[in-house]
Amino acid sequence: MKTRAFWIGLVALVMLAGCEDEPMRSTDVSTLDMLVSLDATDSGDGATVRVRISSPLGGLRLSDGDTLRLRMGGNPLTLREVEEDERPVYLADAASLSGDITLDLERRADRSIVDRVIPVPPPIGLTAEPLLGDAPLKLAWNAAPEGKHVLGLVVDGTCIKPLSRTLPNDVGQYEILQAELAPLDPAVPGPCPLQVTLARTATLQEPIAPPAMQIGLYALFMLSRTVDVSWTP
Amino acid sequence: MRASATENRALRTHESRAARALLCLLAPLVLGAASPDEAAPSQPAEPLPELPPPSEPVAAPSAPAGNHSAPRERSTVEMARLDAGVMYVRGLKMLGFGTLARYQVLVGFIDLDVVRFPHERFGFEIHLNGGPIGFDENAQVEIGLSGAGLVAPFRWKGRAPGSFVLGVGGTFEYGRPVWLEPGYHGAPFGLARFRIFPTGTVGLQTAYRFVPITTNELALQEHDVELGVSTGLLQLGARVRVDEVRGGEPARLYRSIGGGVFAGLVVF
Repeated sequence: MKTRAFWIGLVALVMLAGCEDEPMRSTDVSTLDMLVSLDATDSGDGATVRVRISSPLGGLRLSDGDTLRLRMGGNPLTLREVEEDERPVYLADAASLSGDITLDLERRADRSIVDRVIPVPPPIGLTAEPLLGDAPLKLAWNAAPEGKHVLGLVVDGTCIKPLSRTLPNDVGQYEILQAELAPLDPAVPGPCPLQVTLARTATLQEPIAPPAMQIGLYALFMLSRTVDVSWTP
Repeated sequence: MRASATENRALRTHESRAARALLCLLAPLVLGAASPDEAAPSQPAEPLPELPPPSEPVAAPSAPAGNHSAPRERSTVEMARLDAGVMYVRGLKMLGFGTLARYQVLVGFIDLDVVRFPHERFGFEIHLNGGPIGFDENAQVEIGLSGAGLVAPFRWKGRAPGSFVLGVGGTFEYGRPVWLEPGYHGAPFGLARFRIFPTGTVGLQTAYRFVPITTNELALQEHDVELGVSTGLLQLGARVRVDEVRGGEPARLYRSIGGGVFAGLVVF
């Protein structure tokens, strides 16, 4: 009798636990309450686009016919679902970030988001002239003076103190005086390999659709290029 | 002893005749002035026919018989009640524009009901309830005040007296459902109440109240069902509550179901 009561209680507990741990379905969430977070990185060796969709109750998984589609420069991106931090993430790989991203969130029983264009900063295409004599380090890239992004420059190496600065204007060229490069140990002679990284970072925060007022679409782009330069202090 | 009883019976019969005569004299005054034709009997000199004496004098149910105090007759429609109870509510609530969220809460309440029937068929009731919602740091308060006009299309006596009462009224509520904003609303409601006393000491009562619409922006409907069993002044019972809210984007149905028990003092 006790064994039977134990099993009945155990089954009841499992059923109750199952009721409490129901996964959050996207169909339970209004489109207007969703937060679509897109982050894309392109460091020159391939681009990755990640999309997370969350709700007031936390992360959610697209279900019951809700579909997310991305296009970049008109070409569809192949999305796959992976788990990161126990939350579903929709991931796409591409050769590079080139062209704006278009997002479609198709929903059968709710408002769909169709042809939502998310502007992507233009490619960088960084080049550096060799350091000769006392000439400054001359950098050149594809200018984007009208872009709404932050341009960051980092010069790093095993023999110098990292140099980091934000460039105020994205005009396509910049010079760094050799005097600005601070060697870690001035007494050590010889060539010093440097890595010069230029990064464009852009964010977008918008309501997902009217009448929603809070942020429903968040995008973060980070495009960077790194070139190697040999410097002899 | 037997002779004395016969004398008493004769005395009561004589008193009964005297009371009937008094009623005949006062009836026109109580029921209104009679028409001249009715007031002037065609044969005033003719004596009234004498009614046969009843075999046993019967006292009115509400009148005391001799020195014995009869138990107070329970009303089939009126009520005064003070009770307290708890209710567990579980269901769906709306977050944001239309996101489904599950919630559960324990509601405590105290009820005060007064139901009066100044007339045989028509009456009124006042209901007041209040109590906490939840017992943690997020506890809120639920308050309701309502009044209704009542009509009793059916009320009966006999071995199992009872009644069926219908009513309409208005209510002001705060905190129901707990998640709905704003947390107060006014609303009309309809009610039905069935009461029966199957024995001399036990009473059964069930009631249903329906709120079809409220002043909330979202469409809210409330259903309340109550079943109570009373003996003497004590009443125990159970209540079921269903709240249905429709609206949001996308339009959804957010239903909450609650169930609980109560105990209280009641006078019918």
